[in-house]
Amino acid sequence: MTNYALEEILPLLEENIRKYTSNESTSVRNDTAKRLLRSILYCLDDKAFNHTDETLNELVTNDLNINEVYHNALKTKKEKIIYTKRLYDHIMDNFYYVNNRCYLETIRKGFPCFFERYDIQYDAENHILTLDYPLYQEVTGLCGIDLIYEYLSRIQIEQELMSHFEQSKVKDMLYSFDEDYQELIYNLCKVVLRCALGLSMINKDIYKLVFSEDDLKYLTSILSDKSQVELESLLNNELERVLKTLEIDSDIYYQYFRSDLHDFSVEILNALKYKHLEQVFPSRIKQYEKNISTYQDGIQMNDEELRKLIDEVRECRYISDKLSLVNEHIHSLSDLKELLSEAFFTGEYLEVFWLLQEAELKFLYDEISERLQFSKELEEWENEFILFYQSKFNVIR
Amino acid sequence: MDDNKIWSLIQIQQKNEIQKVIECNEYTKKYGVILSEKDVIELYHSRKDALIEQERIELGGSILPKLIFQFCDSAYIYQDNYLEMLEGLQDIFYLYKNESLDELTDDELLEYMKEHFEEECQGSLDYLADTCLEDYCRNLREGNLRIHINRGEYEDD
Repeated sequence: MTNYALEEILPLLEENIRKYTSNESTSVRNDTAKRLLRSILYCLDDKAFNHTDETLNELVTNDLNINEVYHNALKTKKEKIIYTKRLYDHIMDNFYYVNNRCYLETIRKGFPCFFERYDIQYDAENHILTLDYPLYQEVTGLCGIDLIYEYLSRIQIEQELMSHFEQSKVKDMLYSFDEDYQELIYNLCKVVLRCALGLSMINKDIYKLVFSEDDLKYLTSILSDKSQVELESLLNNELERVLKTLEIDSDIYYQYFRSDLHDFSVEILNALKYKHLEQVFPSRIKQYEKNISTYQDGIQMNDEELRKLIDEVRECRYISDKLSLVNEHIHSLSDLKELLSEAFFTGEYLEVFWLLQEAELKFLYDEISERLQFSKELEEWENEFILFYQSKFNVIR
Repeated sequence: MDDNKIWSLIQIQQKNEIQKVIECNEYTKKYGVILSEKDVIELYHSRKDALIEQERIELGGSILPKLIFQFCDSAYIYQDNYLEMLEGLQDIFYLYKNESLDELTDDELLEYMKEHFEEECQGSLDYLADTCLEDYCRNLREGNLRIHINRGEYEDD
């Protein structure tokens, strides 16, 4: 926390209240004042505010008053929002698609809303998102833009690791762990890395992400006489090997991923004790692709309702509001197609495609591809959809 | 936040403001109403109580000068009830800032209060608070009112 006295901060609070009320109200509710005060303190917070040496010197010699310090800190935070947005865009450009609802909704759907609504000056501690998707290593003790930046930095590290594995292999592995993997709330990267560590211990190809019966037996034999400390040290070595194989062996990755090794070693020992190692390392592989359910269209809206919805969606200012309306009202792909033609514009289509389940995407792709054979004219969103689908599922034209 | 500390800091600011309120007498004396320094201090005490009760904070100047300029020419305010009326109006003002969910600016609320105080309330603070403003703010909360900020007009939908 800052070392500033309340007397020094009060003029800043006064200025911010004046700006907050557009100079149209002399008083505000206590909770509003507290929120504004906390936002000021958030910017002034020593831990988060990166003082340059020059600024520190000026502070020491009292050449810089608190007003200047605050405005510099606010500027720094605003810059942080900009480069956090850049980081997010970078993550999205190389997004590793796994059909897990929590993962997709937290990262794909949640963050655009954050960047639209986050208010550093008047509500700095409120980061809006609940960040339901658990990280490999959770962020603690931060809030506001600092938390979001840290969360995204960690997502970036995890995405980098996952990107070395084939999507279909990851899907197969997750599916063999639990058929409901799409609905579960867990860290996907942790499952992938643990599997790779297991394979590395028995010198198998870490990219295949699957264990045979013999692999498990062999693994049991080499692990059964290990103490927890020995196992943790073995996992440490294997982690180094795996990261080297993946060519991401810098210290940042190593420090980040080793945080789970203690828990992992305890889980392995437990699994060995109760003879269910297959629950830690996947051995029964069910081909995921074969299990995609056949798509069945939902109930269509009547024309009048649909027309009303189209008008409503068109009037929305933010894409997040449009998506909420789609989520709430659309139960049929036919209605969605109508809506995409009438109420969405260039640059917005991708966000809608991300709402769809895999079976729906496949159905839509087959339908558009079929039409493409007979007619060369496609609508703008259809062209974009084809590109989206092909890049997402590595479909070769 | 330590509320007591904030209040003690705010009190320092008040010393300057008391002077500002006394200067309002220059304008209000032509309507036959003035405040002594003791009256102003009393008004500031009741302001503090009202703000604490309504859980509000006021920094950078109080509403009192605006309240005085708005109401000093009222037909229902004269020297004998001037202080009492200002205290009552001040309480009502902060109460209905809250009740309007801060949707009304200071000027809008004061303008509405003055207009109704002069007309249908005929100088009754109780009628102003419990009937006019109560109805008005309820409608506002329910979204049945459009506020024409620039024109200062209020219309039912």
